[in-house]
Amino acid sequence: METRSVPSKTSEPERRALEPERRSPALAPLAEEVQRIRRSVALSECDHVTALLLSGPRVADVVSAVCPLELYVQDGQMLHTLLLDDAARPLADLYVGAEGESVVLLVDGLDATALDSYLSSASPEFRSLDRQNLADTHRHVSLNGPYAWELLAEVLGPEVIGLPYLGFYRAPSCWCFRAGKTGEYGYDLWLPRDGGENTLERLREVGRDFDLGPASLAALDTCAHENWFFDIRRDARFGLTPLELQLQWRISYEKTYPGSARLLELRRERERRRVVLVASDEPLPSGARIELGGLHVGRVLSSEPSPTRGDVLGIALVDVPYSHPGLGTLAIDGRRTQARVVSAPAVDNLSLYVDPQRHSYATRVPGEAAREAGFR
Amino acid sequence: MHDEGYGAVTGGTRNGDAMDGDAVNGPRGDDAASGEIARRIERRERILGRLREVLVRQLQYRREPDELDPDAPLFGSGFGLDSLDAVEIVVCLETDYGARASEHELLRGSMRSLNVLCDFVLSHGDPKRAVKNVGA
Repeated sequence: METRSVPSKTSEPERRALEPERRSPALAPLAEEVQRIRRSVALSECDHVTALLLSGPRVADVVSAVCPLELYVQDGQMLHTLLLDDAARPLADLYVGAEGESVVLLVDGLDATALDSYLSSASPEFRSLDRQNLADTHRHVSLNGPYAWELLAEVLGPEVIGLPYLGFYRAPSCWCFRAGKTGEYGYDLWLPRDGGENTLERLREVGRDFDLGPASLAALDTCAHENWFFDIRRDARFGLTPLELQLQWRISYEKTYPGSARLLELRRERERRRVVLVASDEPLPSGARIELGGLHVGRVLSSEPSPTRGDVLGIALVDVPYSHPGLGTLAIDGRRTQARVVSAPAVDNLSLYVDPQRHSYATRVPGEAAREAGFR
Repeated sequence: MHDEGYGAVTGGTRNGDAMDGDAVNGPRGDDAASGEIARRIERRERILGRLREVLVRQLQYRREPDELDPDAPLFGSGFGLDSLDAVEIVVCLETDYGARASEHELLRGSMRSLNVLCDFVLSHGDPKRAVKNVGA
């Protein structure tokens, strides 16, 4: 077999990304917040999402020019996709929703100014649209947890229960989007700054029966990590494209948008590496070399403790043939470990087993309790 | 030209000094360990290939097989499959691999991604049937 030297080439974005990790808060409060998201309901005050309501005669063309998926979306539904730069690197996580003749964009990763600049440069007609930044008139909170539907239904009404994933509607008191990136039931609410406080108060009041408590953005991101949701704050640091990030479902190779030409080039070259989840009982230092069976097969990109699993979950860039789960334990920086590639998602979410037609937080059934105990 | 992978597709980058572990994590990257890893890769890729084929041909998911990333969600977001698609997948798991879910809960948890489905086939399937059918 041919012997190969370890490639020393590390791209500039990769090198930058491997530099010091963003700091996580102390584990204990974070773990408590994560547990709340996993078992009951958590309320998060959000300011990291830009919501833009667009309308005008060419709104579909303008949005289509930047949307990596075909803009087939029905009224009250959303697409989940990305905004890419010309090198096909994700700039933002994007939901595109249709409401009548208008389009609503929920953008995580670009603030209103940067989003305005991006859309203007991609489509000059953007300036001719009617644009409303929801943050000017609304505040954004999110509810996440296996019983978020039940709490919200008591406050907004039973129509919440029938709202499908990636569905949304405009209630009298707020916009309600069903999305979430924790693997549990998740709702994003945009409450009017003028009058929305009543809805928030009601949520907190009714929420006492659901052990409602706060969850920080760090806790939401940790849950996203455990569930293999792309996290723009964590995963966009490495200069990778949807091909390596396993996000091809969020793009099309059959339309033109920023980065589409680069994606076609990369696809012709064939993907060589893939980002995967690695579980370990020991720390996984960023940049650590990964070996399997004596072969250098990849590198750790980042890692963090998984409060739900009780171990460390990392993401790693691994040669595609060695990216499969179940191939064996990995050596990290030359040291034998029990680390291994695992299938995503890495947790078995309680929300999968909670049926709004049969279950209630007040009368949690033994089966659900068993699921809670069986997370690890 | 884009940079090479960390290891060659057929062998990776051998580093005999790093390993002294078990049959997979070593010993010293010997041929037995490499052979076992190669067998596991082949088995996994055959199952994954068959599952991708089911999605594209039977469920008429309008994508090329290589676009179906193994950790992408099957339901909700991701491939956006529905309950009828789930039935087709269940039939495939039973007929091709003899992999039968004993409980609804177990099945539900086993249909999160193609990789999770592969895990399910490998842990619940009949190895002989799998060997017979994976290349189909």
